[in-house]
Amino acid sequence: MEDKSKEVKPAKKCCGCGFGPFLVGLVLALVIGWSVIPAIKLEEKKQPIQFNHVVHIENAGMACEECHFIREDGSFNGLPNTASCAACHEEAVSESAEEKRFIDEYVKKGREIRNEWLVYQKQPDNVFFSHAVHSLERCANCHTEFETTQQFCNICHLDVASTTTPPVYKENRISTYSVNTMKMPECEACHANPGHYGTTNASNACFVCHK
Amino acid sequence: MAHFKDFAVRYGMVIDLDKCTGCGACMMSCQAENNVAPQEDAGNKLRALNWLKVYRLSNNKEYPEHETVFLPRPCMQCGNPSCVTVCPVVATDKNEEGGIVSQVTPRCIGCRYCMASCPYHARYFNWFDPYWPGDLKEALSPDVSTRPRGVVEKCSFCHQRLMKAKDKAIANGEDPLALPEEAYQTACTEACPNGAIVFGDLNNPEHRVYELKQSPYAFRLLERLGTDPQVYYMSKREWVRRLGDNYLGHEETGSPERVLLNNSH
Amino acid sequence: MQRRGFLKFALGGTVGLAASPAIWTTLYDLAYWTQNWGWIPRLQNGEDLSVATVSKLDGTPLKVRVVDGRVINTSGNKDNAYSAGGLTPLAASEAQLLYAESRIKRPLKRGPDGGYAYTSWEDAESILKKKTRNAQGSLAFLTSDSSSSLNDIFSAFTAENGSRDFFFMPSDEQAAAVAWNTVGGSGSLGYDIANSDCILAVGANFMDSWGTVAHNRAVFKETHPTGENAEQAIYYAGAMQNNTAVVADTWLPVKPGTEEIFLGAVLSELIKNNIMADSSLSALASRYSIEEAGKACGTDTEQMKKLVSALKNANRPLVFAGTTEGQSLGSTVHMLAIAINAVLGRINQDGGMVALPEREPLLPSAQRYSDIFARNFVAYSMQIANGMANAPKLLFINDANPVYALSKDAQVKECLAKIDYTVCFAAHWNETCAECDLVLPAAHGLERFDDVYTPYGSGNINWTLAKPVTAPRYQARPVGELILALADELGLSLGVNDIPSLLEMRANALHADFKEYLESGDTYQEAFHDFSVPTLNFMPLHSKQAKAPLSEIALHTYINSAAGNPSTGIPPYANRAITEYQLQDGLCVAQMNKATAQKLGLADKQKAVLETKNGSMPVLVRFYEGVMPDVVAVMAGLGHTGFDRFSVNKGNNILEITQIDMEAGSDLPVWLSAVNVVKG
Repeated sequence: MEDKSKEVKPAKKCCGCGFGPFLVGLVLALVIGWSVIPAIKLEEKKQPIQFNHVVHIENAGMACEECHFIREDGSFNGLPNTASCAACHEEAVSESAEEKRFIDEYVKKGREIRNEWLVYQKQPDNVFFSHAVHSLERCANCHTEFETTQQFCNICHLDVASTTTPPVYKENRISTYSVNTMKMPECEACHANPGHYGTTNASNACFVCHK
Repeated sequence: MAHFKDFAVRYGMVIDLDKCTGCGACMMSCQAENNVAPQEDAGNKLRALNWLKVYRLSNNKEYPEHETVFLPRPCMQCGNPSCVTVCPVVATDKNEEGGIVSQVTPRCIGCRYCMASCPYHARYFNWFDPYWPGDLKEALSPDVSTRPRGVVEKCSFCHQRLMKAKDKAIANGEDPLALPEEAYQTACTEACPNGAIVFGDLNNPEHRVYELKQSPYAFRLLERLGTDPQVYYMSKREWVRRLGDNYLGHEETGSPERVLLNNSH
Repeated sequence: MQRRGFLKFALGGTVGLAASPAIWTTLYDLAYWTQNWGWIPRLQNGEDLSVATVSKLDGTPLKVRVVDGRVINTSGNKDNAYSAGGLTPLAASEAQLLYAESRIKRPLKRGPDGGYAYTSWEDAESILKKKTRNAQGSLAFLTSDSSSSLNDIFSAFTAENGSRDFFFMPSDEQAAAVAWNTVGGSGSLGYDIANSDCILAVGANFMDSWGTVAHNRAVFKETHPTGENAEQAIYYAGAMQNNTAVVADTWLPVKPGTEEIFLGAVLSELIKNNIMADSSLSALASRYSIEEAGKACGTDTEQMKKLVSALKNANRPLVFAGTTEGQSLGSTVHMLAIAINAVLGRINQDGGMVALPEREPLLPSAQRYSDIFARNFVAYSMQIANGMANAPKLLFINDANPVYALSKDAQVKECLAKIDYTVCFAAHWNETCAECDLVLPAAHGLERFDDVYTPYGSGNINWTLAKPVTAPRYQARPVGELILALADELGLSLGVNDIPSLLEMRANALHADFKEYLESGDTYQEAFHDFSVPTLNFMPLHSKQAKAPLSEIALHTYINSAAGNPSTGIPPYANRAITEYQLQDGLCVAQMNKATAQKLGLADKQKAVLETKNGSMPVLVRFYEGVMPDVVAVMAGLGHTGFDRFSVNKGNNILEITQIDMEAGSDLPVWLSAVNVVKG
């Protein structure tokens, strides 16, 4: 028998705890989106040889152009080959274990280091980049903020010249590109810059960069 | 009407049809230079990939009046390219000094609208993924990207050689926009043992093509469509020149009765 | 949590994700992922070098691009005056052939069940040593490239083992050499195309497959400047409008098999007008008339008269003959061509037919070419197959494919079956390999030292060096080095230690700087300088009656040099150079003109069967008015059962069913086939 005397209170509408869940979801997603996913997407790799730039520049007094130079035919020698390293490192010149490993595994076996070096600024096959045309001489006429070639190179490249070990190479697992690879909009910062029209030959035509 | 820039430098060819033997050396060297996918069965010409194709043509007479001519057909690099106007994603454009119509295959979506619009059948579709069996992929040239299936490709006047020539000029302190004729030649031009193909800057009086294009024997294919091709052909034989367009019986070869389409802007 | 709470959480999560770069960058990354499928090859950069050498496929001087030790492609050598930088379609394929799947990787030995199994080089070398020791005086050697100085090693090896049976594959060169010898000429026959101002080529497709092609075309480039007047007139006489005919000034249709009548008529006409006819020639004055030739050959008599007049009025005319499938027409056509040049006073003159000094053997036991050319492999093969001669105990085949290239009439398979042991040196697995006991991987032309010395068709002494651009791939070895090592093992002294030394001997004989030519890839050329007029005797022509013209339809077999040769098969990139008039729907195309088709009751694009006395094959009929009446043209080079995917399942081998007859007197093989085409 129903108790008609008891009042049936209308059930309180569930407001789902207010903004709480929304905020929790938002914050969680932001954290995942900004930190976790980018970190998972990247795979870290080490260079095959922990090359010490500082020791070669300061101690050995080498100039950048001895290894990184523009050849006669206009192409750029970015990665020196084992033979050019062997010019000095046929035998060990220091106590470094890394140098010994290089001599044993690369110089003595005739193994090519430049085929195994992970290029931070690696561009895909369909991109053509000319180091010859991107030079301090050509750009410093207007961009006087760049005094040395090294500063100029550092616009695009990591400043490896000041490192004692190579920076960690981070590769995007999905796209297989290096995390430092310049994407097209970054190149267009100069190539599509309205201030460059008429004053430079920095054309934004497709074939200037694509092959 | 699309209006394309006037370029200071316009690369073009003059192909002497009286000298072409139809041997195909140009086709073979093009394929090697540009990493064009090999084909086991090129018998189905609808599926074949030929950036440069040599056609066998004739005066359509019966023996013994029959005469044969061979005609190599690269991309015309039209001054008014119809393929550029129809591309929905701007995978192809004509915006670089030199006048070469670019084709950026990573951007191409494979709709083949450009193939439909090109009157010269100069564009080819990758129906299949390219496959270099065995060790053949070691012979890939590092200067031209390989293309996956589903994109359109075409002759680029060996654009990679232009890039390298410019680099060399800069490295040697010369002007990359005023290259001498020998600095930049396409693979097909270099290969042709008869010298039937001549390549250079159509606007530069120091290049051979400048004068050859003005020869009374020079003609272009389908000129009256208004595509303004940068490839000229030459023949002393009038029937060959007449093959260059769809002339009505009464029209004179290269007659002023041309219907000018896109050129009227 | 209630449903609403969950939904709010999800909404917050979505907003948060959208506000972070996660989704957008992942979409970007996926786009890049689609551009980098794993099965699309990646490009490899590296040190870029250009190495000069020469093509061993057709003698074209080359520059080979090598990136990081990988051979990328070939181009012509612009610094080489002999070829002026031209690149023939076959030489353009050389880099891909280096990497072709058809490359033989390791020695192969045939087992008792007929199957082939890989074996080691030690095993192969010991077999070679044993078999050669047991085959003293009963050994034969067949090779195809007569331009190489390495032939001295091969023929010396054969001789030192007690045998004279050293052969070249049948060729125009052999027929011409026999002809020249028969009329009393000395040295070897040369053709100074570079300096001639009026050329008559009968059959010889010198713009694509006859003689020194790269050089012939470089001459054409110079004598026919674009946009200006030509300095050289070209008349081409043949059954079809081919590569040479299309750039010639006049094409004269000549039915296959009637070349002798054609040349005979031209000769008669010239003798009649008495330029330099001596007694041995004047008897031929009324052999054939232009009218008779017109009827027999199918040529227009007015055209023939114009031709004769052009030859007479030219300053430096040159006449030569050759085949379109590169095998042999017999020696009579060549004797007639020589006679014409003699009557015109062009023997040993600039731009004429020249007697080049015979090449001196570099090694003491090497055979002279005049001796080698006196022996013909087709007759040899037929005699062994028929039991009329004893089969040798051992046969070496180097870079030749007689099972494919020679017709059933030559009975090559039967001949090989009768030989105790057959050894095949080949870079690519070809049809002959499948009939031999031991197949050894030979180094490719870009992998070895070699040379091209005054190849057939030259107008002067010329010499280009080949050097290895890369080390031999897989377990291939240069055949020259192999034979020298074998000779060493057998205790034979051939007179040289290694190939570079042999080539240096050639350089010294020519007074050329070996190192300079090795480095530059330039061609050494020695201008022709002996202008003495030899006394030739054309009596042997008097008794020769020209073959009667075929009453039936004649077969015109022709080569498309882009499609390779019997030793290479169809190169990997060459299929696009094979047109729909040569191969269609997996069938060989038989081209014929409407008149011929009507006679045979055939329609255009109809499937049919082509029959010769040696067999039949399915074909597709295509009308082509550039073929003369009563002739059916079929491309040779299809129907391969060896090599790789780029060669197989493409038509049939027309060469197999062509007909070979032996020329009376010289016993040279002559290719001439009557053919019938019926509805399929």
